[in-house]
Amino acid sequence: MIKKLKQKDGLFPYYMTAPALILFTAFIVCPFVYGVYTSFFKWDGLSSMKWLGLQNYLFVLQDNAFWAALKNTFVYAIVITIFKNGIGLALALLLMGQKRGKGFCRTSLYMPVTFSYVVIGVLWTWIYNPTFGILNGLLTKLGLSGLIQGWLSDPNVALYSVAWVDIWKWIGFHMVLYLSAIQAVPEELYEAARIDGASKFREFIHITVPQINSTIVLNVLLAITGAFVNNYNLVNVMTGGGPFGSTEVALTLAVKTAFVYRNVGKANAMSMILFAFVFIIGFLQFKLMTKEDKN
Amino acid sequence: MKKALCILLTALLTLSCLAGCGGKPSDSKDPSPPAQGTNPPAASTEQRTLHIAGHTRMYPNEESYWQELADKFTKENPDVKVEINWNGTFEDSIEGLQSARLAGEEIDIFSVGAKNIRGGLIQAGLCTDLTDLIAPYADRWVDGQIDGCTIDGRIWYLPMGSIGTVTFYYNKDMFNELNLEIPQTYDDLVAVCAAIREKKNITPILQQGSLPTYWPMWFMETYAQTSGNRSAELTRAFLAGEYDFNTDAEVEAFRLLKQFFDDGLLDSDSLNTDADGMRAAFAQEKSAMFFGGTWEYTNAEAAVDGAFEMGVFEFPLMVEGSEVQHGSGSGQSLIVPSFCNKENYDIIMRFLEFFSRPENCADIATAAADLLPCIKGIETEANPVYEYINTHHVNHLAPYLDWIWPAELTNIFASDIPAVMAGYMTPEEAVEDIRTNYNRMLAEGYVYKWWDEWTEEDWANVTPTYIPESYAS
Repeated sequence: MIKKLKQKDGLFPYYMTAPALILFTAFIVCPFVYGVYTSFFKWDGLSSMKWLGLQNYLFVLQDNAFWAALKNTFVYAIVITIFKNGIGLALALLLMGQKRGKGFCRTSLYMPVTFSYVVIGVLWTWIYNPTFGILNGLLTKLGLSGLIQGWLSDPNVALYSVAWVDIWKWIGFHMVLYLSAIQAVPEELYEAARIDGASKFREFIHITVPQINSTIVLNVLLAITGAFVNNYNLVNVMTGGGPFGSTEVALTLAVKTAFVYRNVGKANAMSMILFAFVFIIGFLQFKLMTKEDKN
Repeated sequence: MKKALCILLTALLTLSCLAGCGGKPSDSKDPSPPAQGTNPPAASTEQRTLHIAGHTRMYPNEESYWQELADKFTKENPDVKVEINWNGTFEDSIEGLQSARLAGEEIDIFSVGAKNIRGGLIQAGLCTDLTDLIAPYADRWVDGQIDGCTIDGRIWYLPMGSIGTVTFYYNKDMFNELNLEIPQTYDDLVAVCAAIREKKNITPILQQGSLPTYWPMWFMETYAQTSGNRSAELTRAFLAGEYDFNTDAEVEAFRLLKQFFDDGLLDSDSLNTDADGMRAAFAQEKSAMFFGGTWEYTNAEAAVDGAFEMGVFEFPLMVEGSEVQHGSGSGQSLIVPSFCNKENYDIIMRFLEFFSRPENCADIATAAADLLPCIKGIETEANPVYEYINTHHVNHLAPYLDWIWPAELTNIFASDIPAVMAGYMTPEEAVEDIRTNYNRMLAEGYVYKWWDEWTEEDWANVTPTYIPESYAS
């Protein structure tokens, strides 16, 4: 029957994708549209809505807490994008030359990817704990007491401590993507370069990087969009936005605004502004990084 | 034909997935209530059902105590069957109630935290005005408890647990070993902490400071003293726009808190310590004291597990001429949702009357701790810690300020208090930050006296349509 449908009916692909499309529309598109709609109202999520027009957007843009949270979001995104990709690529290059224990190393590095944010958040909160934490204990044992920090209590350090956990979780994922891309680079290119006397560094810059550019684009895009929209759980579990708002990111502020302050309209306006930022950044990044490929 | 069948099947499959997500708003499903002033519906011979709901119970045996109470009620009232449904977390109670309303679920009595009630449910018109309904039995509650549930002269909820307050917990054995007395004043506390640090080389006080909600409790203590024990009154006036939150009382309240860090009583380790960490440090004698809620005694005692004896003392006196005063209130409460089955008013109130008898609610009221039960006539367990709180703290109670502040302002206090204490902000900057944010909230439409803005329709929605006489007699 399916074969007949395939042959006879040009609409077959639409039938097959319809359930997924309907679910996507119901759970992603409709809530998004409803979010846009409610961002024009004063609404506590419980009682009736009152029309405000664009005022919620104005309130958000005039709110110092939002700008502080947005700044933290950008710092967080930049830090984790650089480190996830830098360390992921470095590890991929290291593992390429590895002869023994390949499976063990790759599995170990990939394992944190499978853990939930809540689990690793709690785990690292204890690692960073000033009284019982193994990090400070280890530094003391190694005679590096000078490096001991208030990892989650110092407002100048806390955001980076949280960012590190995100980096640690996803390094393995980015490493695997880079590893597969590097393995796909034709060996002849390196042989030709070696005949021409190219150093390892020049091989990397002039062969590896251009050859894996599409993977770099993908990895950076995944890291940067993930950093903007996937940081809620970790921040919420580890610091709740503290100390003194130093780790408050746009998503935690939006959730607080909606469910603690009971200002759903303003929270949705925040989300829309964040969406616009992520969309523009993702679009620009994609355009810039694929420009060379097109040329 | 096949094409149509294929489309139909796809649509049905998808809709079946979504079926559970739908639901009619309760407004359309509510049974028509009798008009105000009319008599209650005629008694039916059929057994009626009273629906009780709320967040999942949090204390040992609390769920079974409720079931026992329901069974006992049905025994006394064979015409009423009680159905209980505990679901979701304490924090998500508001969303839980709203979901139930949207799904058309019938709830006659809802158990929820007072902070959630005051922070959203009343303003949203989800609580029935209980003033006239509870009047015949209001005196069963401990004096002042029903006042705490009153806004603009109307009673919106009923306390059902113990009255919570805050206290310093300390390691009594360690104090005895070091010959330390319970501190009465701040200077006493400084001396005690210095002795502990010197002789034990441990952090004297470790606080669960990674949980921002705990910091306002510190401010409530100092502000009570710097304001001449008028903290709640000044807070209400500030929110109503009748008082400028920028006098010496406010700045001094922050400055006194800063002393705790400056004098080494607290350090930044507390900023990165959660409830488990705090209890673990205390139980392992890596700290000697912590400041927390009375509701934490059970868990702290379990963590200590008999390793040493625990004691409590009040927050010290810091301002001459004032009295110590601690934030307090009964957190666990009951509301009658405004979307309840209005034909059930008589059995709802019969149940609430039944509940308010001390012999019926004793177990539930003391499930969290045997402390200050909110209903008169409940005996408490003979325990030195409970006895101390029930005889000392009880004389120095003031309302929790974070039940008066709007949630957004509470969050700003919770952020600014440790920032001042740890030296990242001056007391003056904190006061200014709070004023600035309050003014921003006003510009965004915050109204403290929301009841002045309610329409007749809003009031009609929460006003009982009739007062059942059967339960009062």
